[in-house]
Amino acid sequence: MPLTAGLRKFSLTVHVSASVGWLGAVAAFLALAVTGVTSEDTQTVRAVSIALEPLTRWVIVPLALASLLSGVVQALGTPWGLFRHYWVVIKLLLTLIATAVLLLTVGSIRSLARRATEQPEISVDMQGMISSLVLHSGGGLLVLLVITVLSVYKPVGKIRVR
Amino acid sequence: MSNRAPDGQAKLEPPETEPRLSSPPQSDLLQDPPTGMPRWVKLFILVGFTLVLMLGVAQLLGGGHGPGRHFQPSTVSEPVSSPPDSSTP
Repeated sequence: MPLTAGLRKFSLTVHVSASVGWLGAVAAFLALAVTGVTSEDTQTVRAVSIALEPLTRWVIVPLALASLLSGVVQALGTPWGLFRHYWVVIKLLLTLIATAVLLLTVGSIRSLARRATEQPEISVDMQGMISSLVLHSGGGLLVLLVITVLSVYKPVGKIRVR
Repeated sequence: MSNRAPDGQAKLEPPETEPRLSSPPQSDLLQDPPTGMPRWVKLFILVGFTLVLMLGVAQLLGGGHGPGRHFQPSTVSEPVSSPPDSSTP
């Protein structure tokens, strides 16, 4: 189902905006999480723990889903296809993995924010959760950078169906 | 990537054409793929497999990290730092 030129441009604009926005939002998340791990000030760590939740819920998750959906639309509506080129398939797989890990992490982030709101002190496992979030967002950022590189370079390789 | 097959011999078949949606390819990566799976895809799979293996080994060695961690009920433990003392000026 090929898209018209106008729809293709619109879909591409949505896809690029969502994908680059996702990358930037994860970078902001990582900066906050690192602050939470390195700071010795309880109020700072609590503030960071609370701030991570709306950033994830209202920015990162919607951008991730928009990037995934617009990417699929873009692939299906253009000659690139979804399963014709290796770079498109790998990009799709990486996006699916990144989105799945993100959605799995949302529960931890919500729990961390709730506890930071309810408890005046920072417990050991709360710090462990923030450290885990540093790891997740750092890994996620790397994956998103790889996805960006694939999108820009579009390395050759057609999938041949026998 | 060059326009040579993996075995080093010149490629005989015509170059593969890409969808013409953007500017013409500038990089060698975008020219004349060899038949079969490209080298960069094999490298990608190798790196991905190694990373998954390393994560699995780290988990077995006591890292204890995995998707299941996100489903564990939260536990209350000792505070690392105490809240600021409101009585101090």
